Amino acid sequence: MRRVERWIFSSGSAERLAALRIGLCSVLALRLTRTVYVHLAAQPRALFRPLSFMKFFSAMPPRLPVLIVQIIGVAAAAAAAFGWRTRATLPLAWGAGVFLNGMTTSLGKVVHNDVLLLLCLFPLVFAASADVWSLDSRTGRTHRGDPSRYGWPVNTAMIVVAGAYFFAGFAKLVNSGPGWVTGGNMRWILYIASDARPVPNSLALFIAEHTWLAHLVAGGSLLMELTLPIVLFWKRARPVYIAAAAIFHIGIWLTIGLDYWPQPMTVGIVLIDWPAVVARVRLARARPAISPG
Amino acid sequence: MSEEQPLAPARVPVWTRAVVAVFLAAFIVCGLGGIELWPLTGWRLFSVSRQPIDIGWSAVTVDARGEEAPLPLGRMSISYRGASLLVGRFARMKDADREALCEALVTGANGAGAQAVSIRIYRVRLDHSIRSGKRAAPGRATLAYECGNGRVVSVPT
Repeated sequence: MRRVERWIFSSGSAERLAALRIGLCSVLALRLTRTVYVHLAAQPRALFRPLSFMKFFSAMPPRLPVLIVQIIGVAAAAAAAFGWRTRATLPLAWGAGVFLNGMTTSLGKVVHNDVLLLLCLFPLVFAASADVWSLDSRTGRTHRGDPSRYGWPVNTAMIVVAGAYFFAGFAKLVNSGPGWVTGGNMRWILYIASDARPVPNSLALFIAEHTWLAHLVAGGSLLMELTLPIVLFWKRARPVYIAAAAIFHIGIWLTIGLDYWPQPMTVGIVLIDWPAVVARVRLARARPAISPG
Repeated sequence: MSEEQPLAPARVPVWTRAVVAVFLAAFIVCGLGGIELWPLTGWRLFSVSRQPIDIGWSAVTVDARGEEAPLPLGRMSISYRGASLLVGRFARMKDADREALCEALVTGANGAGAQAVSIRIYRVRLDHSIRSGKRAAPGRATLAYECGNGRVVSVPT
């Protein structure tokens, strides 16, 4: 436990944390531009099935307040991505994101599309994420500080990414056991998804009709989810799992039609060491200039 | 835990460590226990094994002449996105909630161009393992409820 605590609160790079802020806030700003929130505001009361804090409301909030929150949320998320008044704009953006997505998850089913993004952003609400690569630092509002300020938000977000996938796999084992892979489960998921669409889905049907392929897809998905925490211990495994998560979500989108793009984006933003990538790109650009030719 | 940075736990303020500890504890408890405290969640995505036999519910509109038409969910406002899920829970609802849902569906369907006066809800049994081309073979639909004009009639099966 002590070792875990020491790792979470280890020193970090201000640039790495700033990259998380820029990436996650940009994705949040894009997500909050969706029109779904304003449409939901006009929902008849009988269709409202609140979850969590939305139980404080008796119906979907009215359209005007929702629109105001949305405008503030988009502006605050964009401002936080640029690092402008980040101590105020980032919490504001996060609050707006939770509130608006609380509406989308109050339709009778838990909606997970933006959950990982919001959970990874949570530690940044309390962090000094704009000490570099920000308008705040350019205007002298923030300054690079002690490295102990920058490690924990990144490490906490990495634990959340690893945990999200691990718990999704864990829930499958608890609720279904190995039968989730060895039974016909994946075939029925794909058949049911295809049958529910106006036009049958050829890729889903192709996998469902080849039992061995359906088992392979199910086994690969579960393996990926349960072993993703490896990225916390083994840095070199990160690119593999980032690619695996992207393939996994693209596959879900192509076969079942569920669009989870914020989730693999969050995985990439959190797990990739962006300052190292930037340094490599700069080095690669500088090389031809210094080579004797 | 592979990061090579030097360790500096002592310099992180106590309140920061407390926030992180509470947040991660809540995240882990919800994840392991399957607890929904959204945005904290139990991550139960497709966790229950699907079976080929799917017993679901389907709503159709009924016009003044008694003719049925599919509920035009695709043309209805996004705010009706969860309607099909709620139809599936009709049997477990209180009478007042059923009436309210029914009225909302009639209003929504008419807003999408239907001329509904009531809604019929069918219990549909579909076996996805029996295929007819690229589709499941037609299932068996049994009328379960008819509702509209403030009343709900349960049809005995």
